Amino acid sequence: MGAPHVIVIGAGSTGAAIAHDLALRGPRVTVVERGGVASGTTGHNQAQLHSGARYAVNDPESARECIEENMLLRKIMPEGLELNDGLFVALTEEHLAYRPAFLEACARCGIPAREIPAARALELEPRLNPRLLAAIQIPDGVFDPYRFCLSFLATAHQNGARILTFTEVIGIDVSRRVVRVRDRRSGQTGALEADLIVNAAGPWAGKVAALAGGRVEVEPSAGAMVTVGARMCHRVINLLAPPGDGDIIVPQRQTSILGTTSWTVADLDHITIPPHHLEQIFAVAGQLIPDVHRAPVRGVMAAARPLLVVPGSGGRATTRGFACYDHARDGADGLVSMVGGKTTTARGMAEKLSDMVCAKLGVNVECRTRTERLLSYRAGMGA
Amino acid sequence: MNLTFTLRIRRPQGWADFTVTVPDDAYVLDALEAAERHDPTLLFRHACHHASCGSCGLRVNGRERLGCVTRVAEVASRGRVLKLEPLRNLPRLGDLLVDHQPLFSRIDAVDLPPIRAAASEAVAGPQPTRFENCIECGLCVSACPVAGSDSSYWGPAALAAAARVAAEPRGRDVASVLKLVDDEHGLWRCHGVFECTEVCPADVDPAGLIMGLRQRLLEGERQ
Repeated sequence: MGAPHVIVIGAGSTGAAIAHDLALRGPRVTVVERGGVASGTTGHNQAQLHSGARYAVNDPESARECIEENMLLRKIMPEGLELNDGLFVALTEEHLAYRPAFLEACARCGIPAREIPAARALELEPRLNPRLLAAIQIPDGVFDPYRFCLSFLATAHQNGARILTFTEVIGIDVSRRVVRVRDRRSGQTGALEADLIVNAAGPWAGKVAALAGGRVEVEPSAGAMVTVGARMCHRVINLLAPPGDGDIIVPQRQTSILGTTSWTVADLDHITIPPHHLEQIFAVAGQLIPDVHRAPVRGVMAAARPLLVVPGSGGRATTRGFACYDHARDGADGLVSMVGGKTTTARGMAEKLSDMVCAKLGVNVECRTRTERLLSYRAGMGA
Repeated sequence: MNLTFTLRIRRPQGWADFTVTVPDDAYVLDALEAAERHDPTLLFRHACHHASCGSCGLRVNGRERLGCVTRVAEVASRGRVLKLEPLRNLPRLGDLLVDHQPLFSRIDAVDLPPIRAAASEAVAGPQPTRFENCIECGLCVSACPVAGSDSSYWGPAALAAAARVAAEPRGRDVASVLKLVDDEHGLWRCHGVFECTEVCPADVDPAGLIMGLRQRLLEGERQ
């Protein structure tokens, strides 16, 4: 008998990292994605390599995951990251009052956070609001979400994984472990047989699970961002306050990404940004770096988010953490789902999910993704 | 306010028209997504929606553009037809979908590091870094008349990448990169039409870099 075959549904950061992890452990892997690589949530994200500081006070578990993965990614994709750190900036007395809790939480989560004099912050980032009262430096960074996924997939491909983009899942017969797909390029339908099916469809995970009679708790939420055509800063600039709308500026290449807002949406495939969200983003970003008002708008985007549902909470209170589900619990044995999380933590999420997959398949091989250096995004992933 | 117009898309089987209605501040990519809701078989690539991933290049009314940052209002007006075609000089996979791999492989061959030094106004502190300007979108390759006539041509993006390695080596072996592109299908094949520089969405100026690298090689010969 050959190596077991695992089908991974979704080629965002979660699916890409799972494909890489499993391909290193021995199973044969096929990734199916209805669009191009990173054409959903991952592609449109704010590109922030989180230090975890943003979550340290309210969601310490996510914060710890972020800092651990942040440090690992520096080793496995050193050429895929802008590593200039980040600053949390206080502009008001209220922000200053948040400082002790913030520093204490960062320390508890193992996030190196260092207060620097306001004058020093202005030397490092001359466009910052000159009225800033305090600045705390943390190891944020910047990635390129598309290339992040390509890198994981190219490495998975080198280790034998097959990557089928523009291939839509149209049915799952979980009892026979068969995924029915439509090749969107040829229009032809076919069936792929597997030993296990992994649902890594992000915000669409509920729809995919439902095809197999499974159920996941994911909230259909969206976030809006504005990109301006100027690099306003080199460090990720965050507001020193509990997470709110529009309070991060991420420099990337020659641009800066301002965002994000958060709201609940009905149709993930048709997101319309409420007009006042852009005003809100500019209002807050303009406090951090007043020049954003003078920068040309380069692009406006909205991303669907795969937030885990915490019963009775709104958009921001849902957790940035993640969960693995074995759908044996809803009578759909053979399907597992990975929901929630962040691109920063994709590798760690993939390790947990792949542990579950390998346990189910009787594959007794340790995870190797903590140290395995990834190929360049240019390496390719087959036709 | 909304804008209603005809999106005429070049599909493998011929032109297909879609009537779409989008907000007047929408981008070409939004119009394509509106068309996709009418016809889910429509194929195109997109990821970042802010001109950084380079995956959504196409020809809009005959001109190379990124769909994600081209406002519909700039290129379409009420009652007019907006023509969308795939990029040229890259393998076509369907509708507006092309394979960027040959372009990636050429840039990989000259080994351009993705991360470069960033210009900084800061008077103190470590030298910041950032991703290269080039987003490897292929707009220049599509617009280049030489790339259309010589499939062995390295093309503007890869030659510009070689020039970037020469300008900022970051540990790469400049001599071996120059040797690769000092070739009849390399730097010397460019006709100096500057279409690449014209369409580049990231201000890379491939033609200018090609001319500069030619000059460097000629000066090297004279010494």
